[in-house]
Amino acid sequence: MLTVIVISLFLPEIIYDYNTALKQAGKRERRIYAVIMLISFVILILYSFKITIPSPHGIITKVIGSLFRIET
Amino acid sequence: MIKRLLICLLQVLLVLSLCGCWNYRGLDQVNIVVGIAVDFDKEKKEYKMSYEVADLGTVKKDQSIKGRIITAEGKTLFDAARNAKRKEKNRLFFGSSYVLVISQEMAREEGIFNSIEWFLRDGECRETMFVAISQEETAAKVLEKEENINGIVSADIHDIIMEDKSVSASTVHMPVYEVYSLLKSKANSLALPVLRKTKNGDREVTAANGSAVFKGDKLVGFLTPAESKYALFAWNKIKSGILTINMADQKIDDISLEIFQSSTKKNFRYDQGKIKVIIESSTDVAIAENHSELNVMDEQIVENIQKEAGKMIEENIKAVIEKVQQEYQADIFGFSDMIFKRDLKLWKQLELEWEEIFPDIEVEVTSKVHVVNSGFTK
Amino acid sequence: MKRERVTFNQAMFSIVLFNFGSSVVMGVSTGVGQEAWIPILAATVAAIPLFLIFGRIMQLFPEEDIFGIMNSLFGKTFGKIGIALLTWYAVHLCALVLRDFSEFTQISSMPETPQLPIMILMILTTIYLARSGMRNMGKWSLVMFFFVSLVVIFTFLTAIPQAQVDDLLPIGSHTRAEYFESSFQIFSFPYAETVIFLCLAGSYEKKDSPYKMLFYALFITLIVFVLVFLRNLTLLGPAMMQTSYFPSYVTARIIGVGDFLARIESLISSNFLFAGIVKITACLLAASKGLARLFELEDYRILVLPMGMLAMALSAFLYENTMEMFAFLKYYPYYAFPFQVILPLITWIGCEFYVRKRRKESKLG
Repeated sequence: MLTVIVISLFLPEIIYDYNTALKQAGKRERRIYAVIMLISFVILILYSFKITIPSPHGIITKVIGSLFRIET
Repeated sequence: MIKRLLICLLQVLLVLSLCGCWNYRGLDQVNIVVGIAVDFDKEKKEYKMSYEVADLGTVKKDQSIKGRIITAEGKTLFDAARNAKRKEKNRLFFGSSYVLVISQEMAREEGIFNSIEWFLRDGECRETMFVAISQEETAAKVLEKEENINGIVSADIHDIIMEDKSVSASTVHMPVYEVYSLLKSKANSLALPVLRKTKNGDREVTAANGSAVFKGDKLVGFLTPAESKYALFAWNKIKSGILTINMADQKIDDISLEIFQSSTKKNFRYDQGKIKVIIESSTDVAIAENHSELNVMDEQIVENIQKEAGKMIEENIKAVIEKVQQEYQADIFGFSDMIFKRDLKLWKQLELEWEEIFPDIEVEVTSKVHVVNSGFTK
Repeated sequence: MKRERVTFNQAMFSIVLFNFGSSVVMGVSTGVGQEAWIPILAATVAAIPLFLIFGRIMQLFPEEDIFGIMNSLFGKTFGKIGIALLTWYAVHLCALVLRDFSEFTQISSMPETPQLPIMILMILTTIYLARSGMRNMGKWSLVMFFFVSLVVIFTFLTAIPQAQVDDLLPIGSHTRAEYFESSFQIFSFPYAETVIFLCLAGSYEKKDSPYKMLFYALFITLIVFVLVFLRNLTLLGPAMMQTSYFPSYVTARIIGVGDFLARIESLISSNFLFAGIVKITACLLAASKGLARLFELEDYRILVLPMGMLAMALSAFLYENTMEMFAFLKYYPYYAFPFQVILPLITWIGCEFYVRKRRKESKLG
């Protein structure tokens, strides 16, 4: 179900943008656009398959925890 | 063209969000719970929950809504709540439950904190649902009613308790969130309303019957309706009620006074290692019943009535405070909380020995009564 | 690129709503229970010098956002590092707020709905708003500010009959470390998050003093926070306030004037929505602007959608559960400090040197 939602979210977005904003955009813009969209798409698809990606918060809390004493 | 198509698609998608919840259920697919009763089976170590649900299926033109009882058992409260589904077509909906009744036995032995905790954590119940203690052998009994009677018991209980403080002043009203706050406060004691079955004409109905005293989350004793009235005075929660006094030195009380307004102030004094709690109440009353044919136009007599009534309130407040101090040792009037809030330093000194100090705290009560009118007649 | 102009009021109210963002619903409650007004005041005082720095940067370079300033001050390499850091912070903040929002919706009203659809609806709305530009965000804030503050005032007034003023006592029952920690928390969430608006600067009217704008916003925020805190505390009591994730929401559930005016918690939800939209939009704009500057693109608008999707993807895997989300709040101030304080501080010092040097040069020349 979630996979369908993710796909049906990205498809119209890309089609819409391709027809409007991306037409006038330069090559560079298009490339960055594509890369970021791809990254988010992959992450969300993985998420919809329940594959968890390690959260950056694990590292952040570890680093801060070693620098400061934080009581939780 | 494609733009238009997309717009149409978007509009269709928007419609999807109108149905709200992902798992939408219609009104005919839920059982609306109006009252909950919790019992604990010691042998099986199981909670037995009874829900009164408003039976919408049977509503007809000439009939009001009928309550119906569903029971379920489970290892925890939530388990029991979900187990009800096994015998019911519909899921239970807790959003408009009025009252949570806990059995006397469970309150005495298990404590009430566990049950309260779930009701607060699970977002489905309202925090304004109030808690009551059943004086019958099970909590479920309070919610039961005779076969052929319409109406919903929990709604009746709700009205009885909610209006009590402005009519008869015989019990307290405690929503779940306040119970939680009191249990987490320094006083760690509270009072809850008590329910029992009684005869009204030839029908058996549920009635309020004073209040239950809790030390920590465990039941330690009861206050009668009469004692509860003066406890309400001490809490400054009284809105109305009747005071009866004996003026003409007869055997029976012959004057009733209707309370219009009352306010109570609590304070304390600390000297030479001793705490003295000072309670000052001032009450406006009207003379509502006068059997002894006293002349209420006479200033002296009104003065006497005021004095007599004041004295009676003083004595009764003192008596009820002494009872909870010595018999139950439960700080339901929040003396500790008062000291904690007003004099933090002193509280830190006393905190460790509070258990020993509390029963011997001296209480000074002064009550003023002011007669504002005497009804329609002289 | 065409410059959009944002009026004084629009900018100020966007800052105010940005500050309300999640805080109005999460309650400004901290570890110190009934004394939370002390850290609220302390954090406001601590925010004053920071806002002075922000204001000074805006005043010195009224036509530039902080990305542009970094670029011209620190050269290509170091400037880009700074830009990248701030952009990351904006994306991360965007993800955090988005997650706050979806967690709240899930707990409060839709326990069985997965969070992703809720996030999608929210992010699409904000993407649309961000693409419409700063000016439209300002207009939205201007209108919604009145709604949001009306709700706060309304709930405050209706709460008065049930309020227990006694709950404000005692004062001084916590240790200094606890006060400090709470103040730090409120300082970094939400006050110092205003750093996002440095990224959006450059489109304010020249004649308006940035100091005035920032401090009016700070003052309004302070008042609303104190009102929210008083309302929540006197109704819930310290124990209940500390144990709930969303005290404002619980408060609204309890408020009842008679039997008819009850169950007004949807007002609080809408509050959160309206203010949250501004916060997410501001972060999204900042992130897209930063990215555009990083790759030296002309137009940032094309990047809004990808950035929104990225933020959503990020927020989907940030936490496993709500408890983690609230546990991270403890770490957040330390994590955010470099972005919120150190980066602007360095930029400000750089600005001062730059301006002085330029002045000397112009004198000599």
